[in-house]
Amino acid sequence: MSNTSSYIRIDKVSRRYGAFKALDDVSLDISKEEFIAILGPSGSGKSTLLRLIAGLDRPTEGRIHFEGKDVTELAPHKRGIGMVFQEFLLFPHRTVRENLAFPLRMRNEAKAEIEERVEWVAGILSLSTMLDRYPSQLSGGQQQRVALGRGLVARPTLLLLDEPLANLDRELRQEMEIEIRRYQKQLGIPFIYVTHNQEEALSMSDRIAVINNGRLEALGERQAIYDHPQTPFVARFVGKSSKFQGVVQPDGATVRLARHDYEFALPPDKKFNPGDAVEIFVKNERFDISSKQDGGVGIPSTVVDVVLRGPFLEYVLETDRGDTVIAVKPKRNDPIPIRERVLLSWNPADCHIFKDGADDARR
Amino acid sequence: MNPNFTDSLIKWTLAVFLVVVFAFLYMPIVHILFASLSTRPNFPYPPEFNVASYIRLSTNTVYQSAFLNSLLLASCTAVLSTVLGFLATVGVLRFAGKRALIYAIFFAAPLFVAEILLGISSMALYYMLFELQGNMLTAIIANAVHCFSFCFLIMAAMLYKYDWRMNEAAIVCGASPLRSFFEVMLPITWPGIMGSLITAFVLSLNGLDVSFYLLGATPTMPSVAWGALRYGVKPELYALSSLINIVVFAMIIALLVAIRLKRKAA
Repeated sequence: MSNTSSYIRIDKVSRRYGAFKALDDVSLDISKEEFIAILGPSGSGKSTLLRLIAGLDRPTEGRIHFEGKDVTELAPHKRGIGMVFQEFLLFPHRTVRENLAFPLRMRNEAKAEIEERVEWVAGILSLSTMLDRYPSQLSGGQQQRVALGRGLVARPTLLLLDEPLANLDRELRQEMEIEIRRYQKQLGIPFIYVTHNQEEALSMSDRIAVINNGRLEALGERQAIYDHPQTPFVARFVGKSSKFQGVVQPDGATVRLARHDYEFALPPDKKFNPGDAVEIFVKNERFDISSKQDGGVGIPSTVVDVVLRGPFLEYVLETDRGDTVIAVKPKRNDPIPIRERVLLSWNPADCHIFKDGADDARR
Repeated sequence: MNPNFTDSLIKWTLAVFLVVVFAFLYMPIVHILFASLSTRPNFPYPPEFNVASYIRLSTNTVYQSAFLNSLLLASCTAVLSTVLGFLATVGVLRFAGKRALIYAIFFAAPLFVAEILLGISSMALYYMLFELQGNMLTAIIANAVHCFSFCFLIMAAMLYKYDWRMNEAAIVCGASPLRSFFEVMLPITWPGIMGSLITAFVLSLNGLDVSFYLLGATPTMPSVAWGALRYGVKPELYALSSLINIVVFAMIIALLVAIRLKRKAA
């Protein structure tokens, strides 16, 4: 998605608390119909960014624009946003109906309009039968939907979601992921979704902004972020992968692992000097496993365990040097048996190689 | 021994103990009520009911003005100390950070100051600093000083459980900060605020020492009651005490009912 149709513009925004930089020079353009995930580990500054967009906090530097209007100094209750919190924060003394009507009442809507909007939002979120209950009488998933409804009911400019699924159990979470994405497509307003869970970011969003140590580490479409991470941090944080240390050989075209007897050719688009120490990341599903009897090259390993994950098999392997590596393969009826000796390798084009210490050099 | 017998023995012993404790707590209160309704206030048993003392009370202007003064003093003190206590609670819980406990201890410490000290000291201090003679205003201020710590503790206990992000949730819904306070924070925390109001009201209604030093000639109920001792206790005083107690009880029952209703709703 290009930046030409910038609906929300975050322009060189920083937030300092004393000497601590919670957010450092972050710029981000969000277009009207997009679902953007802000992904980062806890303490990375992702929630700070959300609070700045909401207006619950003010940036130390930089500006924030909504639809071309500078809202940096605008009070949060005048921004016309919706927000969904991790703890839902439904008003316990009000019924579901009153919770849903709250944003409309605050905008002084007419009574008929309020009723109509509440009916509408209750309809799309399947809440119509529980409008007269109190939040404490609802299950976690229902409370989540009320929170979502309260965020959406008043036609917000955008919806901010702060880890809204973190308090739900796994099954419900996957169900809600699909639903939330559906609402976003249906309503055509941007959803800005903060999470530390890379699976959620990948399954729901159009684009992902990866935040680390207050800086925007990567920004791109989810497939690109997943397949072509630009920094070691993104390679480590998005998807599940294993990391190896290696050294570029004197010929400048092959890499030899430091701890294992395995060499592979550098992909032609990767340029390193002979003798460079490198970090290699391989996604768990990109490993090749071959039987030791078949010959070939690879890291000599032993199958320690096989975990069945529905359509996938997770092989827990132990290399001869004692490292544990997990390799994911489609389910087969004849999985490699436990204690089998195997060779672990990968297609050089499928791994991500960075100069050692590239993360530190950026700081 | 038969275990059933042992069980019922324990049960009966506890029941008797309970009755004794309640009797100990309520006998003085019930006695005054009886006495106020009796023809022979000095020894009202067996009771012979009449309302003569209440009729005499209604014509006694000293008691009436004492009642009104006390009511005014107690209401103003309750509001003042609750507002101050609320602000202190918000400050300590939201903005004090790591030093919250230290602030809380200093806010609660005046609980342990003797009322008589507070009364004499306030009188001296207000006169010295502002040349304020003892009057209703200084009495309210001194009583609020005394009640503040109670109010602080009561509201801190309630607000400690309050999730401050509730206010943010209301604000992102489009509520101004003032509106989020009245629409969300106040309804959620009001049992604590009400408890603080009632406690401060009762404390300052009954407090003799502070008002005694600061009000001078203005009669309040405790001071009139105390003064009455010198001329012999009159049955009107019984009637007055009973009335006050009924008012206080009614307030507390109203509070409990309100909390019940609220809990049922939540």
